[in-house]
Amino acid sequence: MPSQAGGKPADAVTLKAMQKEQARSRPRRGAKGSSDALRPERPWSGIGHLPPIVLAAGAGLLVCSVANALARATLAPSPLIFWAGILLLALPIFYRLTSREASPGERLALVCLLGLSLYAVKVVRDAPIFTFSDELVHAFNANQIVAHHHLFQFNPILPVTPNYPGLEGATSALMTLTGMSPYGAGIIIVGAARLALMVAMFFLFSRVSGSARTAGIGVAIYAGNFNFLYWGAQFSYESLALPIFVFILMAFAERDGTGRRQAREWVVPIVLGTSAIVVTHHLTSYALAIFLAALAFAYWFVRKDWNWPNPWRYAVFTAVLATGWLLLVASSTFGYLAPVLGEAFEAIFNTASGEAPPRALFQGKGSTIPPTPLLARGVAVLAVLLLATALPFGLKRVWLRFRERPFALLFMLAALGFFATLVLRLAPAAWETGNRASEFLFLGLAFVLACTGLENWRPRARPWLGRVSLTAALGVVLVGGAISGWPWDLHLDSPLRASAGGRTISSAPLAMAEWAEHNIPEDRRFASTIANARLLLAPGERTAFAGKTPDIEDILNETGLSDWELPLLRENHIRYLVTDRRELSSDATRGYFFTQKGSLADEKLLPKAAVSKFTQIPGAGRVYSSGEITIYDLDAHR
Amino acid sequence: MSGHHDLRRVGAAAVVCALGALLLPFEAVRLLFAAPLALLLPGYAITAACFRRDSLDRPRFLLVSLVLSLSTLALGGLVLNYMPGGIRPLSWALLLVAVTGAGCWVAARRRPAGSAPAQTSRPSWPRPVAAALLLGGLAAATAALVLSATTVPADNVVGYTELWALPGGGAESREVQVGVGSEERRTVPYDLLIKLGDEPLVRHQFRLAPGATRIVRLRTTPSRNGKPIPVTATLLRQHHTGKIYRRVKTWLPPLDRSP
Repeated sequence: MPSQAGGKPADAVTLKAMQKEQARSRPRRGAKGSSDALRPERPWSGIGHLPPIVLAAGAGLLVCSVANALARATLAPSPLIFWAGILLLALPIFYRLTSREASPGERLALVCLLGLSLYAVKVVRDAPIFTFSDELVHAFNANQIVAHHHLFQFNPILPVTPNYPGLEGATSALMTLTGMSPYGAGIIIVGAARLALMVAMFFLFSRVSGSARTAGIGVAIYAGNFNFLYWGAQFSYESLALPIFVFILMAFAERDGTGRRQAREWVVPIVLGTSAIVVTHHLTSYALAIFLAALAFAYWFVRKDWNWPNPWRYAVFTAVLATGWLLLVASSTFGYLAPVLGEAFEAIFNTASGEAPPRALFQGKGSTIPPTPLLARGVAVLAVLLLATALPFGLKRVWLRFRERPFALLFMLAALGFFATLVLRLAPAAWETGNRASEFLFLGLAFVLACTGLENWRPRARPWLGRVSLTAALGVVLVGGAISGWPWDLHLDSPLRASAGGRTISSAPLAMAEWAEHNIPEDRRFASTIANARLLLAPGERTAFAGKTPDIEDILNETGLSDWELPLLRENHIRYLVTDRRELSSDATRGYFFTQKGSLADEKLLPKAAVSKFTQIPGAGRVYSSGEITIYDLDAHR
Repeated sequence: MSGHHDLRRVGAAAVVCALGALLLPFEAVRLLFAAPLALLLPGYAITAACFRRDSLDRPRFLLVSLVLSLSTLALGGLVLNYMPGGIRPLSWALLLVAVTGAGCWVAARRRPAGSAPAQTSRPSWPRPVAAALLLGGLAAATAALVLSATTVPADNVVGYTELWALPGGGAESREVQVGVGSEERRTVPYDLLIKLGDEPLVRHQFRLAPGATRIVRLRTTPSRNGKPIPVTATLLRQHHTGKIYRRVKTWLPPLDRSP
């Protein structure tokens, strides 16, 4: 039961519950043969086992960095090196989190170490340039804010993003105060948000379960969320909004554990956090409204009362704020989200009715994208099977122990909802919707599975088996989740820059973007393929269109000029056209890097006529060429 | 704020950090001042203003401070957007100092006079072996970050050369700028031919090391007949004569188009 002790200090309540939990599950401690029989104090008893675990995490990160360096050197390192680094980093943390001896403070330090180390895995993959497609869009927004001193500047590729300026506004603070690039400022802001995510989740789970051990394991399970390693760590608005989302849930849990008078202290943090989410990310603000509404119903279900501490007022406040922002500031969000959701529903219907085949798992879009190896697929499927197998045990235990707690009911619902989103992965256009929803729902799943109690399983002959099994399972879930959430061929870096003759050379798309930055005035507009346009945004700091709106894609891919093309370009004030014969340049995740010898993907080229047709435009100049990439100046004549 | 040492320190730190971030040279030095000003101090002050001293333990207090600082940054941009001058270093510094100061002031007014801070145990220093392990982990992480920012040789990448041609200085310019940038993996000899209309203007033979750039600036006589003149640059690699490696073309605007 959550503490109902009005006015009692929150921390005392948690500690009491933790002590109770530890006392309850300690019947055989010290028994002969027990793995954690009483031992002499460790020399670093004040900080638990943290030092060797920190060393292992650092070493694991270094192994990951070496694997990435080998990949950038085009030496095709075995992916096993990278995954060994991940496991070296994570398994000691997992094992310690399953122990009974660790203090709440040590567990908190461990989950912080886990979150920051895994974030660093993403950082060492990309430093010192953003290479995730959304990162380049947001970096452009941040640059625009700093250059023009105001928010809501135009973004040609994702026009909805400037309407949610929370992340870029925050980044602009560090950029303007220090002169840093969006990359430097961005990784600090997202790193701080990642730290907040881990700590807030730990306190949330700790408050709801009354056990720091369960909380630590829950956070460790959450690290196995498909998007945790890469997608959720990128410089993108959700990376800031999600930690504040978890913080607000934690605030409600903490508020519930105090008296009504003391609970008022949480009003300002909740309101500020909610407002920050609303101006930062559309989906997270809607998810918060839904979660709070569900929590309000859970409170009503448990207590049959809409009065305090039922959070329905906050649910309404969030919904009103998000709707107001949507209608008054960010109405383009309709146009952005509606097609995605509409296509998702259509795909679900088509797949369910047999009109369309289900989406093949672990397969990229193009024929040149290497498939995920069988072993990796096996690990990913095993991870999901482990989660599914543990779910009934977790649900049963949560129901038996915590069903009087509204948060526990919310988490149970979310856990079931997560498996519903897995089904969406089978429908082609619904994949993204399911993937995005899973980040929120995994929170509930992590809590429910943390309550299964596997760590307490201590067979007489092998008392260590429960902890070792749980540690291994957490390792599989972490690796399997990362494999499911990110294309297999992109876990390691590709060469964007290389050293040659003691100097640095850049990939053709990056060199083109840097050339544009140095040689073309800032107010000129470009049109290009998806990857090149994103690099033109950042680091090129130039306005570049791509994709379907306006229809740059067809202009660049067709082998002849059509009547509508030039007027469309003029209508959008596009002066420079960047053509790229590499088909890979239409890939927002793979199109930025050096062409590599023998790479099938790099060898696929568009017909020459798709590029040379622009020489027919009267007055156009072919002002730049680097082989596959050419820039046409449509007004060179003037 | 007498008697509230933490609030006085936070308020003073905000001012010092703002001055340091605004006035000191070097990005890294400014970051040392800007990071606490942006990521901790405003949240600390708001948290202190919202909560009684015994409401939150230290880890929770720091978490709330961090999240409220992030929220302040996310919302602060919106506030500055509608202020005169907009989003600039000085306006950010003033806003963050003002939020911190206001938070500290409210906290000082709400706290009972002479209230003592919650007793917290001092963390003990790790012993030598533990310290060595911690430092080893930190060193490994630092090495990982340094390695990630290091460019390494890549034998399998395909090098290439950039060639460009641009009018040197806008519509009234008489200058044409032709550039060659080598992104090859070894030194390459080039042969560059530049034509003005149909007339060969200049020919350059040179070698470029990887990462090096050669820019040729030509001053020419603009067209007086009101028509732009095409400028064509052709690049050959010296040991592959007869095969055009790159070709670009721009136009030299007529003289009478100058404003």
